Amino acid sequence: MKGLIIKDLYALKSYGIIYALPLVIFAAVLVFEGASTVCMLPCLLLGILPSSLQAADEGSKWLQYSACLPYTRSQIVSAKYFVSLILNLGAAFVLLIGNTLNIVFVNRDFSQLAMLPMWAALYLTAGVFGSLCMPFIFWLGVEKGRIVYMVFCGLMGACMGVIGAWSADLVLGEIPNIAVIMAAVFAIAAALFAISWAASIAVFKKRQL
Amino acid sequence: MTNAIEIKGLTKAYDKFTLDDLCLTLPSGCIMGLIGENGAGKSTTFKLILDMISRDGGEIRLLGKDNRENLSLLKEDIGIVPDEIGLPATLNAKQVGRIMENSFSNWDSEAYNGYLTKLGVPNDKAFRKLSRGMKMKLGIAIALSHHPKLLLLDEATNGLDPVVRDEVLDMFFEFTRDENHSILISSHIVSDLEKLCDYIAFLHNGRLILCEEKDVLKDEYRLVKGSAEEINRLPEASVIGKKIMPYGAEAIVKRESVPEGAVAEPIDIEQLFIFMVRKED
Repeated sequence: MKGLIIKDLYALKSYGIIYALPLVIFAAVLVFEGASTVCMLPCLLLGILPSSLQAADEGSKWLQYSACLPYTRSQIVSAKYFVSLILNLGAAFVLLIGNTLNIVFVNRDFSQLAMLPMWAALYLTAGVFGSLCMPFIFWLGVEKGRIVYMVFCGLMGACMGVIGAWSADLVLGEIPNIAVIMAAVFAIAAALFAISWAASIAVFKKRQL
Repeated sequence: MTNAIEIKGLTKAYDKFTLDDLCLTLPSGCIMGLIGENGAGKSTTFKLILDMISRDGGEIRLLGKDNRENLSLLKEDIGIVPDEIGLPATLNAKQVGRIMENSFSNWDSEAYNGYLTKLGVPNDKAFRKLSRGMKMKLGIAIALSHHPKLLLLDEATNGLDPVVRDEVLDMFFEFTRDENHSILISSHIVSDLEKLCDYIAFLHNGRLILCEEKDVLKDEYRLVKGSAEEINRLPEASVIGKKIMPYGAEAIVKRESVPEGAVAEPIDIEQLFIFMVRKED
């Protein structure tokens, strides 16, 4: 599967570099302005990047060509989810560096360091959202799956609005039982990611190439 | 010795097309050419061999193994050139080599670079900027660089100019010098297949109308030329196909049925195919 992941990383270098810009901007904002749920936006954007890679694959007929290579269909699907994980972890890591720099050099409230795991969970949860439309694209192809993709993009925007409005006056550390809530949210997100992965494999095994 | 490909009773039905009860055997060390008009079922056959589409019936064995069991492992020993090389548009041949190196356990980078040089494929040009012929050459280099035992070539010589085509055919000849190596190739360019193949299979409207050794075919049939009356007098059972033209007529007949004194010439495979298809229609 290493070859498939390398291929996607090459594709990311070509198509995905523009997605890195919001990440850098929001990380910089984090350093100077402090943590905010709005900073989940680049995670949401990067979360849909694997679906865009899949669209590029279909455009170039890579899916058909990959049938010539020594990979199973499960591996072809799993490569996309590994790339999704790499992107999620990478985005969360960059944003957490922003959080940490803010706490250490700008805010200087070191008690906030205890909140970092919760921010990590939030960023990772946001990144999972985009992967939920992948089974539809693996099942229907990009042409038909694009409608689902657009619905997901709309939903993501709506969620951003709701979360932004809800969290405007909230301080994460002051929400009662926040650690438990975040753990539960993260567990649900991880479960959804796993379900999406398994569903993509199941539908792609039946797809006619 | 195991057969490289064994296909028995292969069936696939679409709304307006059915690949019907296809049976083919390609012995190891041989080259088989699959000839058919557009829509005859050649690409469908390749897709079924690679399990890219589900079959409605039949059995396919590649290198002695069922193609649906561990096909990904089997592909380590199979080089494939599809009719369209679906590599990502932005990748160059060097990056493609790195992907393949991490895909095939027996990938030979030296051989790959050698093929790229031999075929004149640039290492640093994005795939989207390559001509169709260049793309096919890159596909051929990939297919040959992991030391396969079986080559599956779906219209692999299309888009190549005659000089390069000849060079590529030589590479395929070279490949089959090893008696364990085999090739299944489809093409519209029948002259290529005639040069290259030991066996010829004709597909027409999803049915296999003939599968035979090339030399047997060339030996067994003759092209008879004469007037329309002379051609029409030939025994119907021995006539494979005939063409009546305003200035004369010709027919392909079994050699033993050539009338005494008639003008009979050796056939080429393209003539045989065209006459057979016309008779079928």
